[in-house]
Amino acid sequence: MSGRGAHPAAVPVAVCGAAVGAVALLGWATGVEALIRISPSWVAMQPTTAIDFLLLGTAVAALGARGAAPGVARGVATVAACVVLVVSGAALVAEVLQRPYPFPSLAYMAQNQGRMSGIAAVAHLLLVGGIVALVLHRRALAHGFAIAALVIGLTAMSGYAYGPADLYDVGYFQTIALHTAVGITLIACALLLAIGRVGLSHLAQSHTQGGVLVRRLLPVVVIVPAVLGWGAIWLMRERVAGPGFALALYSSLCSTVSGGVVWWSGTRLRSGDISRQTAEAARAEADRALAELSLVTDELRLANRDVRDFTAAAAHDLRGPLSAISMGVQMLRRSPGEPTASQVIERLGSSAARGMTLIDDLLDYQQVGTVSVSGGRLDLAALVDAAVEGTEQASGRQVRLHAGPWDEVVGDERLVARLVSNLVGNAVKYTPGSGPVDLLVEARREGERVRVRVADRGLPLPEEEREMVFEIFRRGLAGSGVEGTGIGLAICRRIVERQGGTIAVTDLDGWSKSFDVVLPAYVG
Amino acid sequence: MTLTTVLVVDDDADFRALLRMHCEHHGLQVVEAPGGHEALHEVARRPAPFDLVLSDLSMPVMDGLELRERLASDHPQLRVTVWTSLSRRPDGVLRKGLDVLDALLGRRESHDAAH
Repeated sequence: MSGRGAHPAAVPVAVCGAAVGAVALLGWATGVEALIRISPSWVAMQPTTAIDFLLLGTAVAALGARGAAPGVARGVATVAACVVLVVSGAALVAEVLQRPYPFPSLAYMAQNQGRMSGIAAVAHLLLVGGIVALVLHRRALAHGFAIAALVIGLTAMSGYAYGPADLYDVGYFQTIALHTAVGITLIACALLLAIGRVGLSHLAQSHTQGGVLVRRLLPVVVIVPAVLGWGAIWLMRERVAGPGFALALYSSLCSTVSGGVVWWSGTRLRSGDISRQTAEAARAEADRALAELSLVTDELRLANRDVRDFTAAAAHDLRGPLSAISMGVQMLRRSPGEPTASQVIERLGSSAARGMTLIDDLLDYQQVGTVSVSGGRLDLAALVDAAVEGTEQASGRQVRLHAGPWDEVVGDERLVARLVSNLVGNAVKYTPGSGPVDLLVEARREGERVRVRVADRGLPLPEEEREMVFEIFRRGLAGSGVEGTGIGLAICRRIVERQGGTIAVTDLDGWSKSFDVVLPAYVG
Repeated sequence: MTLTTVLVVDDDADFRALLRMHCEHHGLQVVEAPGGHEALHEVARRPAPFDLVLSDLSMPVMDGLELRERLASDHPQLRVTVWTSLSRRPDGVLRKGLDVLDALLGRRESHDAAH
């Protein structure tokens, strides 16, 4: 883990923190008072505190150094943290019990009985907590400890700004040295930088509105009240204003600045929202356009398939009859006499008729693909009756119609009439023999759709042919002896598709097969 | 060896009938099959093999070339000729025409389908 995610500034700042300790120790070693207490009337930094800073700074620098061996860094940090724990923990315990510091060789016994100030000890312990948490990869926890220590450091520093005497009167803040406060602040900052992108650090570095707010406003919100507070204290010290007025002025200025901050945030957030709403609207527009486009593409794909099928079918299948006619003509040229002539002429007639039927069917198919589709309520009973009558006349066979429920069907009347007629004709054609043909026709409502079934007891359709049977000019194996060009079902499918429905072959108890047409129950 | 029996394979009933008429005019015995599967069936059930199998190229389900492959593996000695009315000819396939047909029927060499 060592250093991964740590900000590059972590190490320099940690080194500065350690340097604070080093400088103070130097002062103790050489007796230079300025290094120890900065100002003659101010409190000195205990040697123990200085040692702590050296260790803490080293620990944080180890953890924040990118490219350091993880094991080594963790080891160094842990050892340093343990030593600080002992040194500061002893000081805090001694402070609470009001006893002298237990390691006199390390301390300046003349000040506070050798103990560092309670609050400094607490801050050091918080930093130890943060370092240990970071070693254990508990970054959020470490972040919390570091923030707490930072608050202590900043508070102590601003206390010095406002007047050390006041600060020294506050309980455990007693005897905290200025450079101790600075050291705590530096180490806490270094630790925050070493932890990397967690919590506040993460937010401050993010490229979002939130990040912008934190980067611009957090300094304002932290620094302005401190400055205003210093101003209020100055007013009171210089006797320009009494405490009441000074505080009133302070609080109203703070409110004004805070109000300004909120206003600024609001403006930014609103413009952010507006951008987002605009983007969302544009996206919705694009989605709509895409959906429409996809519909158009589907239509085009179907139309293209039709054209392809039609062209292929026309070209390919007309060759059959024409080849036969050509062959027959050649034969007639060779032997124009009987008995050949009349037999050949019969075949010529049959091929010509087939060719014409083929062309008619193809034109039907094409028309079904291009004619405009209207929609309205249909009288299915009337359509079925007409289809049955027409088929009975054409085939010379009787149809026994079993009528199921006939829920309302909606669609284009001409197209559905053709559909029903084709399906009924198909059922009769594929029922072998010459006896009566059993036929079931029903229409059942299924939610938003209507399922129209045309079932027969003729030749069953094997599973593997159930898709193929709707292609142009394909017939099943079983049906290859049957007359007809095989386009009837392709026409049915096209009719159904144009009305937004589906057609498939299914099984039905008591019947060989059923052609199921599922159509929308409503138009549009 | 004179040809005596011919198997005519074509899905077009009229064409098949015309072919039969022409072959019978030449004194041949003709068996018809409307498709590849039926043709295989006919070949399998005859004790004496056909002298010639004449098959259309473009038929649904099994086309002429596939039929020829299948027959070649099971009955390698069988003469199979495939033809077509398509103007673009795949290899090994003749154009339809009475002259070509006559030549085929009259030819005595035993090499297989044509060029």
